[in-house]
Amino acid sequence: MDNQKTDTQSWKSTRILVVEDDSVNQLVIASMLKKFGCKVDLAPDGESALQAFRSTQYAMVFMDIGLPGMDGWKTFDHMHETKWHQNQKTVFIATTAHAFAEDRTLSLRAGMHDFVTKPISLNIIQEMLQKWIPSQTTTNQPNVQNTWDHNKQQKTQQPRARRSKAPTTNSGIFDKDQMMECVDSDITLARRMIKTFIKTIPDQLTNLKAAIERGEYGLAEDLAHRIKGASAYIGGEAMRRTAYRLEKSAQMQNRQNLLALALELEYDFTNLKQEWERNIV
Amino acid sequence: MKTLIVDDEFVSRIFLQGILEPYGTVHVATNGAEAIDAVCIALDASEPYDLICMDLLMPILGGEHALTGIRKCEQKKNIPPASGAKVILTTGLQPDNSFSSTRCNVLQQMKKRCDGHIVKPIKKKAFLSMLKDLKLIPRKNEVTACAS
Repeated sequence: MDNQKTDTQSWKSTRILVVEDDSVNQLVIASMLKKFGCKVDLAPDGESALQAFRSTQYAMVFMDIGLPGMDGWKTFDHMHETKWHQNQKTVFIATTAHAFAEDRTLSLRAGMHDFVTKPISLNIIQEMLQKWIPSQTTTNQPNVQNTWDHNKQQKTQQPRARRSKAPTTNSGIFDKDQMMECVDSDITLARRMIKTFIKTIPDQLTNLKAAIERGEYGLAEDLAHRIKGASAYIGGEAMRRTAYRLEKSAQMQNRQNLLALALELEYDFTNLKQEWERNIV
Repeated sequence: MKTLIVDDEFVSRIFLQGILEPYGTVHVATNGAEAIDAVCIALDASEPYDLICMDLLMPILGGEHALTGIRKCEQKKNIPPASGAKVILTTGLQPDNSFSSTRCNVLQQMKKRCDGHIVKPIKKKAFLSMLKDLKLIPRKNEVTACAS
């Protein structure tokens, strides 16, 4: 795949904010991001992070959730509320020193896009960039100083065009080829199915969580099976995988584990809707 | 061709409806009980279904019991077993390591009782080709033969 190449210019001028109180970690993450051509700003605490966020448009924010003072959650909440964010689609990555499933679930539930555990490696950085930010390797636009700003002014036309060229399976969220194979490239039918999916899934997710809460694991298994089936039709790869895991885990009757999976499913659904906005509907 | 789609999942129904509507009337049922009712009503009106697309795992009444009920309805109307509605089993169930033996048996039994079996997510091309094999819709060359 073309965009798997480690091109140091891939994310040239992509502005990233690293919120991290540990100076060593700051340097490590910043230097790795710079290897991919990113422009990096550092903030040691929530206050300065907010200040930076209000004055600059960032494509991505790495947020240490264990910050002293105003913690990562609160900082994120404030950022989420700012006007800047309502117009710009900043990707929030939670970073934490421990790999607690709880942290992961909480950060996803809070509305962050992804979660990584420290120590953060070059591979992780690359994975996050590839997953969330359209790389510029396929474009040959000269003199674009800040592609992110540029994209925004063009109502994100740029990433859409680029994404459609990239293999849709790359993000792991939406597999367009799979859906197109099902409907034999009938785009009208595909749209109808997506609309149905978007309308019906929220209730199903609510029912699923309620079933788990009540300890009705057989019902949860059936509901997960149904969501899996629907996801498979519309190429919702991440959702299909999570629903499958949930379906298979239901027999073990571990409420916490199942609830975490249900939340992950919700998060996959949000991502899928965003992917559709960019990609198809 | 008159079709009944039996599936508890909305997107699957929309998919099959979209594919089958060009070929005739399509009705939907969201569980096995509704399916039996739909078949009985259609038989009473002497407008039976040519094809039933039947899911296996459904709330209230699953596919295997629904099929039993449907065949009983047909029997009551003195329809010989071979002349009843063609039934295609449409399920996302695929035997794997954690597949319970009960479900495995149900799936195997159902496959034997149905005219066709297709695994979800269904591919439109494969599905249409199955309908042609079952002589429910004409093959392309047959259509041109009729037209000319």
